Amino acid sequence: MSGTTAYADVVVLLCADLGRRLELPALARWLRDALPGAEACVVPNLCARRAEFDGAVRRAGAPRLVLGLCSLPTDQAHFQARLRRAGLDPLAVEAVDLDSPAARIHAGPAATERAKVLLAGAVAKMAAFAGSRPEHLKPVLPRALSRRAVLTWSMLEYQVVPWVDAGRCRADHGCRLCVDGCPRRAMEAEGGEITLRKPDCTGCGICVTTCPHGAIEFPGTAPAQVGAQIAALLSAPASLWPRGIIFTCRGNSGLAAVASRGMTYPANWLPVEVACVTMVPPAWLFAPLAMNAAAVALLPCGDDCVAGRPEAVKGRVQYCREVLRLFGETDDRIRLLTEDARSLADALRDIPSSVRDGPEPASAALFAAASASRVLLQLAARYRAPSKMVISHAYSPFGLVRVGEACTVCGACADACPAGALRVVQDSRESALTFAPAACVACGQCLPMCPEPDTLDLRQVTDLGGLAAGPIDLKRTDHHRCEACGAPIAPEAMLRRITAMLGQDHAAAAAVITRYCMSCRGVGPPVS
Amino acid sequence: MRLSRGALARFRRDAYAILASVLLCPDEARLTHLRAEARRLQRLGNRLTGLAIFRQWSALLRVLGAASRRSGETLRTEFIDLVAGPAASCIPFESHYVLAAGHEMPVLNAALEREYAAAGLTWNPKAADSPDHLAVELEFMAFLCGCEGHAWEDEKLEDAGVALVREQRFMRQHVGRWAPAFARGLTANGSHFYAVIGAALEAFIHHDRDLIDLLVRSVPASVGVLGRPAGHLGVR
Repeated sequence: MSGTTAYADVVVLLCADLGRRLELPALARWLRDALPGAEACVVPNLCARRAEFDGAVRRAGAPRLVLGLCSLPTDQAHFQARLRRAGLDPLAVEAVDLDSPAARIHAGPAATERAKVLLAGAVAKMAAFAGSRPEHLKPVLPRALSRRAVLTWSMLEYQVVPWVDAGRCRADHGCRLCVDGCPRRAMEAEGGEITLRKPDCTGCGICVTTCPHGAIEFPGTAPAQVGAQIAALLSAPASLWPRGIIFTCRGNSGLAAVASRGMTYPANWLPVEVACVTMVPPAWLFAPLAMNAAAVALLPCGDDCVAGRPEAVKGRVQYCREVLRLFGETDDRIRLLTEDARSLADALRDIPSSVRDGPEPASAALFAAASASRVLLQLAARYRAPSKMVISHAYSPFGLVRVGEACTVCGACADACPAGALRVVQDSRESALTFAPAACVACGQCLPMCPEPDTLDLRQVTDLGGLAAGPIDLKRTDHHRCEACGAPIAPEAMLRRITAMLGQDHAAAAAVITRYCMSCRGVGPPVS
Repeated sequence: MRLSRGALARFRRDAYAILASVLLCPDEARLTHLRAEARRLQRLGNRLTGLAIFRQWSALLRVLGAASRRSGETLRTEFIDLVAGPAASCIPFESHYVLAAGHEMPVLNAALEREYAAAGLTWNPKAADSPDHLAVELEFMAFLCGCEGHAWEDEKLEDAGVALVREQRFMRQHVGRWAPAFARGLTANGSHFYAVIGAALEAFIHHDRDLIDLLVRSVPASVGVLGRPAGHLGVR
């Protein structure tokens, strides 16, 4: 949290009624001091009177707002309409609940400290908001459509949906990871382009973290926003320590249910709402720990899950816990919660008091696409894990490719690799098939492309040494050169394989192919 | 704040009509008409804040309301450079965008004329514009929205459903396929006036494509339009 203009576009409006419970002037002063460039002001009746709210929002004159409210607005459609009327993009406004019954379970000075941290997170999230486009929204029907609503309905509601940035998308190279990963089959690959069938999309966000190229935008749960929010939650200078992060599905009522049942949980558990926790990859579970979080928890929606993949969530948590165990850490640093209020309160009752300090500053960049290996290596360094550690697990986000002797460096696997982990690198003398373990997402798209039986092998393995070492050569072979002009024809291994396949019956054809390049075949000396 | 389906259809009709109009040469008469329309539509104001395109829409009405007699000449020059001249950077014809994908001009125009005829309109062969001009396609959408609005107001659900299915098909097969690309060109290459028009057009088309899909799905199945073959709607 350094720099003078980091949050210059963000204004925080605090409802004056929060003063009954929080030290409001100190809170506003803290926001101005701790968040460079951010403005904060206390507004009388911000929550109670619509006119006050509309006027304050208009007067704020900022493109991005954070609202500290007594409770979150229940009618999102009307709330967003008022923001639009004030000239704001509703997706550029983050409302933080600071005094609803759910928020009131944290009382006294801890409540103000918690408010500081939550607001700092919201400000950072808004500062990282890259703007929205018409494609990011889809209108949705009111949940209950009455007979009368056939002719008249109340205000349209909107849902945020992902949008594929064609400039970064690699569908033209055959990548279809988002298509295969979408639980609703809402993504479609056609003619080298990915399109989203909005009516089928539930906005779970799985495609966003599946894409290794960061090509899918998703305002509100964009990796840059989530990263910025968590970095701020963990680094905001408030006396609330140690801190834990809880990823929750949007609209999950689990934490509120804890309050309504008269139970509580420590104030230093900090919620981070994502579209659906199924979108949270292992790297997002490791990243907070690499940024001084004491623990990370996932709170899924259980049976109501829109993505319907509870086994994936469970598998990822198991993988992360196994990694932690191998690092010599207790596995309660990463927890999978259930929605039931009592078990939830039990699971959150304690938070590990010690934090393994590391030199790295909190960095939102750890949440970006293709940062998974960096996160893990950073965490391994923090735990002084052995550099040669290999973890085989069905939910490892990394894969390990090996090739057998029969590989001819034909490049078919590299052409099919959507993540760019497999490449054919050529110089004047040789061709090499290289593999970058840090880029491999273990999708398996390379496997069916290999023309040689039992030659290409992919295992779902996290190899710390490999991740740190960078790309390696899987197979290297000399170029075979044209006898007439000396130009390279093809990799030596490939031509040997072709010759063997053609056999003695087609020796003449094999000789043409192996002796002359394409240009010289028509003009070369007769083949004997 | 409730919005009847009839009122929503009327708003969409007006929006298509005004967007069609701004894509024609801004002569004095048209600018006067646009200013008056912008003022009239601005009065709807708060009823439309529920729509996600409200920001782009109100920005459009602001620039149209402010287009003065004095700026007319400048706008006409820019219109020719940008849209209508021989070196125009934004081509307002569907054929320019879809012919590259292997379609043939006569086939495209015949398909468009069939769509217009199915809705009861006849293409005038003496018309100055081509049937694939964006203004023509937007006017046609305005016409369909008008039909839909009347049907909702008369509580003729089947007629409303027929209009909606036509809108959906025309949006998917024609205007929705290329208008956003044209609009992005306007936004990138135009002055403030045309950039605002481009942004509003792109936002409106994206929004309306999704909205039509939603409206079609919300027509009660008992109305019985949705499962019928296209021939029922006069198109083969």
